Amino acid sequence: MYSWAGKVLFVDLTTGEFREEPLNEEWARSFLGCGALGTRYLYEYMPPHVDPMAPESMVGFVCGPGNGAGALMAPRFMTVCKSPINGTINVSNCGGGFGPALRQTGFDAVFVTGAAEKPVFIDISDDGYELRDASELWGKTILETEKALQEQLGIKHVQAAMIGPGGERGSWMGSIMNDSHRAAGRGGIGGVVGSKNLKAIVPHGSKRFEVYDRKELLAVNKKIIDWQKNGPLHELASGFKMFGTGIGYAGSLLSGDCSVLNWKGSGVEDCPEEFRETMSAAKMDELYREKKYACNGCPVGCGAIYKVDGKKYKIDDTGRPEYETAGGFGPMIGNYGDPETVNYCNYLCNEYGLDTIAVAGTLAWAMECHSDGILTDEDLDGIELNWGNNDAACKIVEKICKNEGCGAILQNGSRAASLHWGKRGWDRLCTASGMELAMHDPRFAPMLSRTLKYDPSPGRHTMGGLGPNSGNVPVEEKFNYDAQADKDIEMTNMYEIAHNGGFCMFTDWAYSPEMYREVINATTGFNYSEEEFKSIGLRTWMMRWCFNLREGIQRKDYTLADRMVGKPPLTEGPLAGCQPDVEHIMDNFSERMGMDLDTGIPSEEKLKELGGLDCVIADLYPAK
Amino acid sequence: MKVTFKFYNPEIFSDVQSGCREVADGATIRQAMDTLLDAEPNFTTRNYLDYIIFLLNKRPSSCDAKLEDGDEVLVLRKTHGG
Repeated sequence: MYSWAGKVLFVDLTTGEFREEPLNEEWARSFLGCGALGTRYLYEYMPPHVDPMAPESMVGFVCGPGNGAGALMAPRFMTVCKSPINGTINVSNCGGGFGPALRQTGFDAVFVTGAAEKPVFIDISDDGYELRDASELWGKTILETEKALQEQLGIKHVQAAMIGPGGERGSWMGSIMNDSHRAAGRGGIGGVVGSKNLKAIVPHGSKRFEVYDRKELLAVNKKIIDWQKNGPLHELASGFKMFGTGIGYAGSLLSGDCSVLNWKGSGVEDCPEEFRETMSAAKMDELYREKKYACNGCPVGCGAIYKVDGKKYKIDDTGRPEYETAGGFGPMIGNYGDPETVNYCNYLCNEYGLDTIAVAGTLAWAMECHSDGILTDEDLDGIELNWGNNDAACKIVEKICKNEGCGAILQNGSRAASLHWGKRGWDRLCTASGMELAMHDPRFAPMLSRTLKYDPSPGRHTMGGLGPNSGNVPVEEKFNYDAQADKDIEMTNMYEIAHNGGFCMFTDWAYSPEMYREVINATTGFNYSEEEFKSIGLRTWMMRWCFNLREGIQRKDYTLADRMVGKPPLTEGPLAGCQPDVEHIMDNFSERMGMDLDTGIPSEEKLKELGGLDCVIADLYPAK
Repeated sequence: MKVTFKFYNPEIFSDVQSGCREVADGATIRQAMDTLLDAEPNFTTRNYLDYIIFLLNKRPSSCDAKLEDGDEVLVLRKTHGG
């Protein structure tokens, strides 16, 4: 095989056994890599109905074919597990350098089952692989863990996939961290890994692998650079290079895209004029930026490293808060003018290994509940968690990170907390199947409502479909669901290709559409045709959807909070009256995907048409 | 007529100042923006409409909406999710 390292490593932490297998080339070809390939492996090797937190559950760390292969903007790997929040297939995406580092050890994926008796980490090097004692690492924050691993293993710059104290105690908001500040955050992956007493996977090798056509790859890379410099969206490239995801902060805040006051406010109405740009990357960079940061192999380099020398908080080394985090610890909690709070909460979440989106969403829910008298001072350890009380917000985040007091109740998210408190505040939850939402409002981008509710890994703004960007079109267009139905399919296909190919999501402007196929063909030699690429992403989507079907999760089981679809509608601001009809959008999608409108079960004909799904056909339509 | 324009993204609009501007009667947002930006010597992003959306008096608006005296136009960078 070209570009693929060609091997997969299975680790059983209960027995301590390792097993190598050749990478299943047919699956790699069918599912591209990353989350979809991981889903196929879990479908094969993990029986249905397993408790995600039990030793029998399997977690995967899966690379894309371009990781470390010299392809631009293709370093991303994905984690895959069954989510403890809702039992769905949980795929979570991360940049940094773990993917290329793992491939340099000769493996394209690591799948872990079982649970170790004591904390361990998996050390994978040119000399082989072993379980090593992580007792001294357990309890350490992410930066502490990195430093300790570097010293112990004699590596200058470790590219480990790690959990922090949040994941160690099984928090459903636990994330996997890499390269200090990069996160596979969503769906509770960190908690599942922590349930196995696994602190980290540390690849450090030097193996090289060939790509199929190096000359062609270099030619495509040159085209990509030219597209970024001179293509129709070159200004976006330069903006992201300077400020990363935070360039859109003010626009999102004021247009209605960004969450405000747990999704019940409006930026243009509620945010004072003088604070409308305070949490933008441009403004925060003036205060805190030390240097830029780029994921492995990325010419854009949209990240930054901050040093915060503030009035309240001093932080030597932290990542620039991404837009989601700036919005989440900003206007989502009624904080319009205090970037120190945003940076401190971001730092805490990264250090303790917790998903900033989930923590911010849970915090905002608790804040609304306390402001409305639904939660009492006693519930929150005497903290007056009201809108705009940033000190209180930071104290609550500290408690969540450290699992103290009410933080121990909040650490599994807002829905779990509401259930603990006798369903108080249930009507104020803003979740999709229990997942707190990223800071993109489906009332601004109605087509996003389908992705949030019905992606097989629900609650994600980045998964396939027309997404948040679809809110940029005129109002009369954005609510015309039928006119956008075909494009919804097309963009689902494209984002599935991007994610499972290991590409950064921002290749949606940094690449022209044909470049994905050109890069993957040049690296792997799989020679995908244009025709095949029109639906390969729909196959990967269906694999994940059918994983959930096998778990007993049908269309009726997916949920999205009423507030997010305008029930009741907002009365002020640019989103006044907006009520996305998520069911109409999903009906259109289902018809095109050959899925029953009630159950979501795809027809056998559609499964055969998509190809590569014989495992699903065997389960849904067993031969008589 | 007088219309207030507010700009938020210096990486697109560099030193274009927010404020109240004199606008020709009957002008659309697009026409007023073109006139305004033509007068800015450092502004070079000719295809700026590819990157921005407008709020007119706190409501989403197309660039072809007609302006009235006292209107407020927020010039916002398009959402690019991530």
